[in-house]
This record gives sequence, structure tokens and C-alpha cells, in this order.
Amino acid sequence: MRERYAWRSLAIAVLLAFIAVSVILQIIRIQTGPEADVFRALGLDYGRVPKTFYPERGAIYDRNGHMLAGSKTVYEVGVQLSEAVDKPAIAITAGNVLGINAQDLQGKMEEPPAGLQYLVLEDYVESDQAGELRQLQKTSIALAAQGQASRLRGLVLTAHPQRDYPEGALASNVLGFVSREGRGYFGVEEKYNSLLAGKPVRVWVPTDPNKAADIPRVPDGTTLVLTIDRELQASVEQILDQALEKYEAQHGTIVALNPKDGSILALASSPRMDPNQFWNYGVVYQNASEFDRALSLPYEPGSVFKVLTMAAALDSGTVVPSTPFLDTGTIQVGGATIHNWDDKAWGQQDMIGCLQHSLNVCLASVAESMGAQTFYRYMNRFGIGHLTGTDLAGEAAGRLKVPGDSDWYPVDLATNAFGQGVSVTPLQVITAATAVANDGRMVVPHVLYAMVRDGRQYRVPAQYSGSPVSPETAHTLSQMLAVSLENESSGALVPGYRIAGKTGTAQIPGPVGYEEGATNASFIGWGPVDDPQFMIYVWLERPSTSIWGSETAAPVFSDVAKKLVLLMSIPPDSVRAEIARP
Amino acid sequence: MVASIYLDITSQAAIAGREIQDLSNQVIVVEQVNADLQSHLAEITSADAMEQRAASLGYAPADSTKLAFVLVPGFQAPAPEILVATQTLRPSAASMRPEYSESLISWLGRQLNGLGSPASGGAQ
Repeated sequence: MRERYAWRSLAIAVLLAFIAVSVILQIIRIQTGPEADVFRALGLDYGRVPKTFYPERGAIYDRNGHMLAGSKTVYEVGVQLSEAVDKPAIAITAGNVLGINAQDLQGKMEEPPAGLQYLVLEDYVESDQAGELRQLQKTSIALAAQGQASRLRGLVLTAHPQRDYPEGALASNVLGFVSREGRGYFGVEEKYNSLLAGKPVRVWVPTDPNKAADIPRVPDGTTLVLTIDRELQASVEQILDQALEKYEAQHGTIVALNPKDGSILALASSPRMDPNQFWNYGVVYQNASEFDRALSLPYEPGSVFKVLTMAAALDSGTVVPSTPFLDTGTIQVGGATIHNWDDKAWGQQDMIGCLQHSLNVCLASVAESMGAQTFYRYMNRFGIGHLTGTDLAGEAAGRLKVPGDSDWYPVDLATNAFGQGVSVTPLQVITAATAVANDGRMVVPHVLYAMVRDGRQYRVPAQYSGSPVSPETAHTLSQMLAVSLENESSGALVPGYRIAGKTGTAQIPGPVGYEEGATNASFIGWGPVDDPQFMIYVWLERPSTSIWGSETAAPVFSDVAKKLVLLMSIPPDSVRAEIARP
Repeated sequence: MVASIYLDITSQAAIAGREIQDLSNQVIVVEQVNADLQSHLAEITSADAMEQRAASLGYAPADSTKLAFVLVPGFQAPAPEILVATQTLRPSAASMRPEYSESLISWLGRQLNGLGSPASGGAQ
């Protein structure tokens, strides 16, 4: 009997041992076989989840540390459908707080798309509304009967950051905006998008706490400090808006920069939009080039271009300030007749008189004497027809026809000399003119003053884009322009400060020739002449009260300059002379 | 016994993991609150708001006729170098203590090695 049971026991033991050995052999086979890597990879996938850490977008400050763009917390309001026990209550509560139709919300919750577990009711909800919803959730939990779920169970509030512009529309043409997807459009936001946005880090986070890895450090996006002065920007925008109203101009642009280093102090362009409500972009602008007219919208500048023509003529030795010119009121070039702006003959003049009275005939004659090759070589040096290299997105290059182009004619040399038949942006003209105010050296206009990253501030050095004219030419022309303004008793003059500058009134080309009675009024000027610390460009489109730059753009220049010397603490010439006295 | 030790270590690791998660969430919330406060501060000190406040207090914009320049021999206004309140360097999370990642056998080995070596630390 015992032997029989012994055999049974032995047989069962052998069977179990066989099974155990088989299991072990199978384990070894699986772990060492060809499919081992596949199983290992599958195991790894089950043991970890991918997670992307997004850095916080860098802030933007003005040159004095005032925040122009930052981040604020907004909320996504959604419903976990499987947990929602009282959908009508959620719909009514969320509808009342968020100002949405409750019946629509309830309909969405009652009939969600197949397979949907979580439904977004509203996104980008302000924190005060989210706080109200949270409070109602707490109240609902407190009122719920013992052992029963809250009526608002399933309502989920998820916080996430949103770009915020605390100054509203101020400097919006410079800043641009950020879409809900986090991408920057226009201005600084687009140009420095990758720096501001930072680099997202994607890591595999183990689900097994035994394998908990270090939390990756995701550096925030780079913070930018701009050269813009907030107070000056606000004043310039205010002056521009008043000028548009006063002169009944359709649009306008004002750029103020430091001609020594190219730092843009203020840049105003109309129209402006509040970047906090970037979805209004399509309502405010018809096309992208209108967002910042100073750098995206080329136009025929008119007589402000004579500054560059005269600079080229002086530097090439074609003329000197005292070179005489007998103005007969017309000149024939390439089979076309060129007239002065008033169709009159101004008689005997010198080069200062030509600038003072803005004589087209004189400048056309000077350009002819210079020759097309020399003239266009200088224009090329001044960067006309090329991008300035500014650090704002959306810059246009304009167009300068040159000999050899199929649409260039000899008359273009004459018209180009007084700023017609050539399209430039205000930023191009002001950049070219920095050479005249800055001892012949042309600067690259920029808005980035410094970057702050990982607690360190990096200054951005000024960049120069060549020396189109000599320092002597620059000084001579500055004096000529200052004298011409003084002789003219220009509306651009600023009491206490010596200013150099030039007006411009340009006809506007239409589909068939130039439009009658419509002009672009411009003014470019800088000061103080002996030590230029600011340069201002004004462009008013189609002013109605007067078509002349001298009566519209020049006074606007004066208003901006008066404000600028106050805000930038630039003492009058007499005070500076006293300071300089040993 | 081995099972109970293993269970104890695992539960400790799980608790530590949860604490880390909570602290991470707190960091995120504090950063959000900080950003909100900065943004709010910028709003209430915006150019428009400050101008309105100044006007309500009876101030008016200055013009050049109301300015008086005082010469101070030898004085030169210093240019600001640090313009923005910079954020302090945020170090990476401290490395995990080995207790949270090592196996039971490794832990036993480390304990046995520790028994053989002289005690470290102590009062000086």
C-alpha cells in the first residue's frame, strides 16, 4: 500500500519537476532567443510614459525694465464625462460663469462624439472666472448629502500659461503677438520666437517608483530687454495719433533711433492692435505689410531722399556746398521734362539753397553730373534696395531700379535723385541717413538691447553696415541741412537744439501714373547737430489739410524731438557747451 | 522576512515618489502665481495707468520751458547695467539617494560593505 502511494508521489513529483524545468527552460529560451529584444522593448514601454516639459516663454522688457510682454495663468474648463453625475447642473453653472449658452453646453455633454471621455467646454478662461467656478465646486461638495457625489463632480479646471501684454496696444507694432499654439507672429515675437519659446524637453518617465529618475530641469525661454523706451513710445504713439487726426492723414509712421548705435528708441505705426486680442488681426489689417509700415511697406519717399543724393555728390567730389546752380525751373532728362515741386524757377542758387528750397531740377542736374554709375554705387552703399538687417520680422527690401534692369530708363536717374521712382521703407532711409549723422558710419537698426538667460544678462553690441561716405562729407552735409532748416525757419526746429533735417513730399503712383492731389509727407531729422543723439523719421500718408511735408511731417518731427530730449535727458546746446567747457 | 523588507522599501520609494510629484506641482503653482503677480504689477504700473494716476494727483507733463539744468562738476550719471530682476539659477533636482533606485541585493551588499568600513561623521 505504502509502496503504491510512494510511486504515485514520485510520479507527481517528477511531473511537477518536469513542469518546473520546462518553465525555467522556457524562461531562459525567451530571454536569450531572437525575440528577447522585442519583449524587452515592450516591457520598457509598459514601464514608462513619455512626457514633454515645455519651458515658460521668456518675458520682454523695455530698456528701463518695464514689462512689455509676460505670462499669466488661464484655465481650460472641461468635463470628465464618465464622472459627471449631474450634467445639467454643470452646464448651468459653467454657462452662467463663462457667459455661454447652458443648453448648448448640456447638448454637447449629452451627445459627445463617440469614444470621447473628456470634453472641453471653454479654454483661456480668466483666473477670476476660474476662481468663481472653483468656489462653486467647493460649495457643491459641502452641500452634497452624506455619501453622495457633488453635483459638479466631473468639472475639471486645468491651468496653463498664456502670453500677456500688460501695456495693451503700446508698442504692438514692435512686439508682434503669440498665437494660442505658442508661435510668435510679427515683430520681436516672431524674430526671436525660438529664443523666447525655449526648448521643450521630452523624457520617458518610469511608472515604477523604484526607477524614479531625476526631474529634468527645463530652462525658461530667454528674456529679452529691448532698446525701446516705454515712456517715449507712449508719447510718440500719442503724437502720431494726434497728427493723423490733425492733418487728416490716412496712416502714419514715426521711427526714433540713436544714430550712433542704431538702437530704436520708439517705433510707432498705425493702425495698432491689442496683442492680447490677437484674433482681431484680420479685422485691423488687410495684409501683413500693414502690421509695421516702418519696415514692411515700401513707398516713394520724395525729397527726404535728396539727403542721400547730396551725400553721394559731395563724397564723390561732384559738388561742394558753394557750387552754383542756375535754376530755370525745368530740365530735360532722357526725353522727359523734370519740374520743381512748385513748377517755378528759383534762379541762382548754391547747394544749400537747392536743399533749402528742395529743388528737384537742381538735384536731377547734380545726379546727371555725378553719372548713373556713381549715383547707383552710392545708393547701393547706403543699402537702398537691400534689407537693413534689423531684428524685427517682416522687413521689406523695397526696389531700386538700376541701369541694366529691363524697366530702367535714363529719366530714372533724375527722378531717383529726388526720391521718386524708387521704393524704400522708412527704416531704410533712416538707416542710410545714420551715416550722415554718425561720422560716415552706417548702423544696423535694432531693438534688442540685452538677453537674460539662466540669471545672466548678455548685452547685444551695436553693428555697423559700412561707411558709405567719409566723415568730412557727413559733417559738411549735416551743416548744410542745419543751415537750410534755419534759413527756412522750418516747423521742424526745436528751441535750444540745433537740428539737421529734410522734408519730403512725394506723389503717389497709381495704376495709371501719379495720383492727383495725393501725397506722402515725410521728414527726416537729427540732433543735436554737433553730437547727434537722436534721429527721427516721420511719414504721414495722404494728409488732407495740407499735402506738404513742411506743413505736416515737419511739425510732427518737432513735437517728437521736444518730447524725446525731455525723456532722454538731453540738455540744450547751451547747457552742453557749458558742461564741455574746461 | 525578505519579502517584508522588499515591501517596506518599495512602499517608501512610492511615498517618496508621490512627495516629489506634490512638490513639483507646488513649484509649478508657485511659478504660475509669480508670473501672474508680475503681470498684474506690470498692468497697474503701465504707462497709461501711471499717466492717469499722475494726472489725478495733479501732475502735468513737463515741457522744456519748465526744465532747469543744474551743473554738477565731475558728476556722470551711471548707466544701469542690470535692467531686469534676474531669476536665480535653478539647480536641477538633487540626485536620488541610492535607496530609491538600487535593488535589494545591491542594498544588502552596500550594508555589508558599510559594516566592514569605519564609521564616518561624528562630532569634531
